[in-house]
Amino acid sequence: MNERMTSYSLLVLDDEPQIVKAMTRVLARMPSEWLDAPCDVRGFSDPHEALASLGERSYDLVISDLRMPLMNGMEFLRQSLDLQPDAMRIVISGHADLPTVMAAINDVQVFRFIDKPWNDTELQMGVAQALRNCMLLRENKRLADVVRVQRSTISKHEQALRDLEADSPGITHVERDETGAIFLDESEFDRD
Amino acid sequence: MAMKTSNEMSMRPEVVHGGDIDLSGATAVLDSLPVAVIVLESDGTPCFANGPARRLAGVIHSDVEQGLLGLIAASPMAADPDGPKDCEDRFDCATEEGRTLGVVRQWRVAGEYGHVSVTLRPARNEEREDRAGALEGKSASEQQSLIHAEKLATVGQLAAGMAHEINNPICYVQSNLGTLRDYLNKLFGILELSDQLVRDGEMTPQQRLEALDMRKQAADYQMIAEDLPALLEESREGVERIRQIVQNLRDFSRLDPTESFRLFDVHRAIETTLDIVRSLGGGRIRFATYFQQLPLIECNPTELNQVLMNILVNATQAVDADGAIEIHTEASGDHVTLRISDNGSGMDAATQQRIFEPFFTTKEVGKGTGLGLSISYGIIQKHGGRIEVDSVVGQGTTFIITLPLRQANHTAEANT
Repeated sequence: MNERMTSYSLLVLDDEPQIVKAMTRVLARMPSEWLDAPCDVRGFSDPHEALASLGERSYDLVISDLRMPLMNGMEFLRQSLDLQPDAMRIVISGHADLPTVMAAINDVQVFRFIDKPWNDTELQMGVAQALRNCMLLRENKRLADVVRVQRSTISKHEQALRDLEADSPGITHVERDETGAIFLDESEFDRD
Repeated sequence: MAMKTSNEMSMRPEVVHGGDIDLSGATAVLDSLPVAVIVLESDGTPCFANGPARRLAGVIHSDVEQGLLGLIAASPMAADPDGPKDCEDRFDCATEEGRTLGVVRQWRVAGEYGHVSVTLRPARNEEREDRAGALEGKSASEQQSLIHAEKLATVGQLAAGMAHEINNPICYVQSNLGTLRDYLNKLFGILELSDQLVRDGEMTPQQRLEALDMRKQAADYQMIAEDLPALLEESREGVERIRQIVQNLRDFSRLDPTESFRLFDVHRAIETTLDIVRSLGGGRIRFATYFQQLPLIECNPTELNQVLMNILVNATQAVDADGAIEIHTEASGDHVTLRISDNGSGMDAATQQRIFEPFFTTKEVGKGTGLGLSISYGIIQKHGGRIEVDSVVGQGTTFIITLPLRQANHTAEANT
């Protein structure tokens, strides 16, 4: 299948540095049976620095707070969607009112909404599922590409056959007898 | 019904306005009073007058009954055109179910008597004295509860911000405790292994060391050793933050009418209040303090906090996205001055005139009680200080509070 992952790349953003650190600790001790590779977490408390990092390297998962003084979390996630549409997004917030949750799902395609204070196990499970989902989508895409390439190879082959047939009709369906000799239908010669 | 009393010596009759008062057993006592007492029906006609009242009435008019009417009549001129002159009558005002207390009318009786003032007081049938006492006591406690209600309303507005402030430290402290348990499990695992290795006589020191190193590697020993102090320090700091927030809230919401004036650091009051208010601004407002060296001032710290809170909460609500709030302090002579400025929406002249009125509010229904600034005004008055406002629409508002260093009526209780 695909090449084995060495580590998953995660971005964590919260205006509170201690929260970033606490979450990084939880993700670092992710049970190995839930995920086939460790999490490489980059934490930010400044949304602008986080966006800059999103422009530089590829992430599998972006986790963000909503209520931040420098930038609204929803706005950050919207920009992250533009920068890295393939990455998964998780919101972790203590203010989960319905309009916010709906906007998070409909506008920025959030995969999970985790309440604050979080339950460590729930956070780990949510992250593991998001990462597996991310891998699944990537794998899907890769396979779809392979199929497309193969399909175009096949159609090239078919085109060549069709040209040949137009030039010498019957040549693409040569019949042989059991000894391998080409079977010629004599009635066809008589027509000329 | 109303009761009218008059002090003959000072010529101050008092009219007590009330319900059905039974005076049958008290006539002798009332007659011996040095005050004229006239009891009125609710329509204003006198139904009882004690000795002094009758003597006073006799001076005003030859007919005592007419004189009584003259004392309390809406128009005394009608009672006796030649009698009292230059009369100010607020009888109507006073008979409105006793809403008005105080001087009702002034008489200038020719020659010897000079001014006579009449005071209307409401009275009720049931134990008048007790009731009057109770009324006073009640109004004091009512005011206290009003102040407390206003305080709690402010706290209510703060609650959402506070919840966020408290929630953050709870988040990471709780999560860090989970991580700590995980670390401890791993460390105990290493400890148990070393215990086994030490007791195992078969192994060479080299083998023991290798086994231990392998286990340490597997348990991320190095990482734990590095992270553990930071984890504990951050968690301790988080708990301290929660403690501080709760303490601030408690300091603020405490209802302590007995707390007396004492020497207090104004800057500490400002910092405590700012800590609470910052959570309201969600970090978007820039707070700046410009403190000059200030002496301790004699004040009631809880009340001073409340004044600061009211003004600062208003300021945070007046500013928009790039709000800035500045607090300047300075001492000059026997007083200190606090200036609290914001760059918010400001107020027009008409609004500025009314902001200290009770129940005046520009906030939407349910958001403000309209009491914050009027209570603040009362508190500053009580401290013998001044509170002024300077505001320009679209530019911002400055509140200037001047407080004396020492209270005239209170001796400094520096040791309390």
